[in-house]
Amino acid sequence: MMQMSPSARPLILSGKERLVLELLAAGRDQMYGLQLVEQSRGRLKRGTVYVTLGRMEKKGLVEADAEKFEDDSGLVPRRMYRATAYGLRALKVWTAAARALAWEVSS
Amino acid sequence: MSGDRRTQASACTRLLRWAEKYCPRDVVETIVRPIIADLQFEEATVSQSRVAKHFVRLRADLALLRALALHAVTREMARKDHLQENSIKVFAIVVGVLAVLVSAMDLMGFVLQDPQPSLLLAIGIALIALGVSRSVPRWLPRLVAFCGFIMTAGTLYLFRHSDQGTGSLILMPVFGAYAEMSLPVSSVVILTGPVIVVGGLIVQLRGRPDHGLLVAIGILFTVLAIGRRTARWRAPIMRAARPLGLASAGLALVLLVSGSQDLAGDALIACVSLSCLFGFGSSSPTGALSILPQRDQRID
Repeated sequence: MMQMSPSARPLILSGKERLVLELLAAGRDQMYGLQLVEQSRGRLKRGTVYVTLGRMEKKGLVEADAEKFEDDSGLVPRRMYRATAYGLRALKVWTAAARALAWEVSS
Repeated sequence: MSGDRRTQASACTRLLRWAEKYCPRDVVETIVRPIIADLQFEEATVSQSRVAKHFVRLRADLALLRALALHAVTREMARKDHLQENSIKVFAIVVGVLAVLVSAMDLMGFVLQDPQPSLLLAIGIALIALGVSRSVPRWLPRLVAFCGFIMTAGTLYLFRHSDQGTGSLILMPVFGAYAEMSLPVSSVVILTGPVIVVGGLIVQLRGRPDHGLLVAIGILFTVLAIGRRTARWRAPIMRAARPLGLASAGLALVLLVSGSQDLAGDALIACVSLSCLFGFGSSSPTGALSILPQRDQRID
């Protein structure tokens, strides 16, 4: 049994959330929204990715830090996202469950 | 990289100030600022062409608007945890705006068939009012569904008997989709199918023999509705509904172009009804709903 979400409710993982977690898990470092959009090859849209990421942050699946600049440039820092341990466990369990289901259905 | 971006520092300050003034703090932090940061990054990396930079800004502005709209919709839904009610409200706003726009077009003379654009305007305003109202009474969805059924039937009758073209065609999908959200699909189609059959037959008996297609549509609806209740046939029927709707639209277009307006009306009825009852209403009233959590994917 995996760890429950902070709200102690069953975790629900949407298709987009799963995709974001997969991309974050595959990447070596933190990623920002536009990177996720580019690497999803059209499956994530720039208009929806931050809504999804915001929701995932509230669920505890991802966490974000503001990009750090070397100098005080006055620019708006990008939010760099990474999967939390909880998010990675959720993805792992979901993937295992999906494989088991596929095997069960096909056998 | 930050050096490149420095030159773009002032490009988005106005947008950010506007957002900070009108949007809640959490929305600014989680949605607005990241999009603006992306915009700055893209502007810095794109070529020096002014056209390209304007294009980047336009894309970012659209992304921001879309994100804010989706956030507003989904947050409202998550807060109330009452999907049906909020779906109706969102859909009411969308259709209300559509109705107002069509009536405005009619008033300006673009659509000449509808004799009562003011009625359409009133309906549009009422739908928008419903959409922006704080709460929808529990009895309202079912009342709307019932009225929708009556109006759909009446609309079919009026459509065939008088020249109330535009308004009728607008009203039918509106209430059909309302009914779809409040009642099971099968119920609506089962109710609608026989009404179309009976209505078509009555008209045909009165000496309008061109209503054979209408009767056929009614029979098709009934068969589809009954078939859809069977698990084995549900998936193929749902898969076939959208192509059927599109085919009907194509047929209606061909018939309209060829001058067969009566048959075109029947085909349009089939197109709109099939699209609404199966395609549109069955998936989600707006694209916004597609980003809601899917309840069938759980990890316990």
